[in-house]
Amino acid sequence: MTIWRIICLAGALAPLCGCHSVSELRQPANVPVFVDSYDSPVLVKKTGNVPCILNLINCAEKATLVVNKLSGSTEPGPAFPVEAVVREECAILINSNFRQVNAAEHAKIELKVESRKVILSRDGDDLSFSLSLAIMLLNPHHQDKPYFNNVYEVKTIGTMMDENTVPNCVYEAVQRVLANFINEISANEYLVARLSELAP
Amino acid sequence: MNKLTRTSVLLTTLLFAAGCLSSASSFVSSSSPISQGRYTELAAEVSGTCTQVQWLFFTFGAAGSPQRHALSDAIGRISGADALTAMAVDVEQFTFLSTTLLPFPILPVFTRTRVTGTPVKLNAQ
Repeated sequence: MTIWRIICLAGALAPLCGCHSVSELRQPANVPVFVDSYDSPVLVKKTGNVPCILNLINCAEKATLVVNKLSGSTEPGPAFPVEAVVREECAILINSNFRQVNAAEHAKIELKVESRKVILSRDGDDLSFSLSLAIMLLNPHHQDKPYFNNVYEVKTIGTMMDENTVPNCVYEAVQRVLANFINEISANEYLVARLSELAP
Repeated sequence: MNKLTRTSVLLTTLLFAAGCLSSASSFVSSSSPISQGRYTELAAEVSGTCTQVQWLFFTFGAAGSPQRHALSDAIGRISGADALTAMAVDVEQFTFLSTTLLPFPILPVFTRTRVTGTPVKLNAQ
């Protein structure tokens, strides 16, 4: 009887056992590019020497993929990095139109990016990403009166290829928001003149 | 009446007396005090549940407020979420024999509290 008891116990324990592997999210080898460039000839000429610092304290770190089921219910899935993508793209934007702050100087402009909406949903194989970012240009020492402040919202669609890779629609949304921001401030002559005065 | 017939009658009676009741409990703008423009929406909707079983004088399942447990479950499903906005609380109850004559259920009552809302991350000031 003892052998049967052991078999029954093992049989009862077997369904409770499990192996959980933590998969690491990876970014694509080549970051996809959906906009021409962040380079603005007007800004490069007039603000290219203004030291700028990036502030992402209020940017959501990740976007959780929510799967819409046929029953109408939703099920959360893996989370993909958003803040890291925004940081990388903003670094390119600053290098293109302003200048990164040196260790020996104070920043004259603060580029502050706050997230308002990061909704990533999946319906079958189709992905949809709604991104809303508030972008501000501030004086780092007097943040109550920003030089510029606007909220941008875009919605991109993509296809689910690999659950461990950041979807292209995340890159596309971030790049389109930043391109809209650059286009808007480039067209604002008063703002460009004000920012150009900050160059050392 | 033999034993089998009695058992069948009892089971049939219980089956007809059994039922599932779903009722909206409450709807609030947010689970935490938040101000306009100071949060990030992380998903369109998320749900969390908490199930308790009441039988006689006992309650089985998570101790304490089922709404708080369901809220924690919902918030925990989305990475980085701090609170829910447009939060609805629904209560689903499955009972075998419902009576108001006794202050306690004589057969187990399954109660599931479901909290649904938009998960948000609160921004630092």
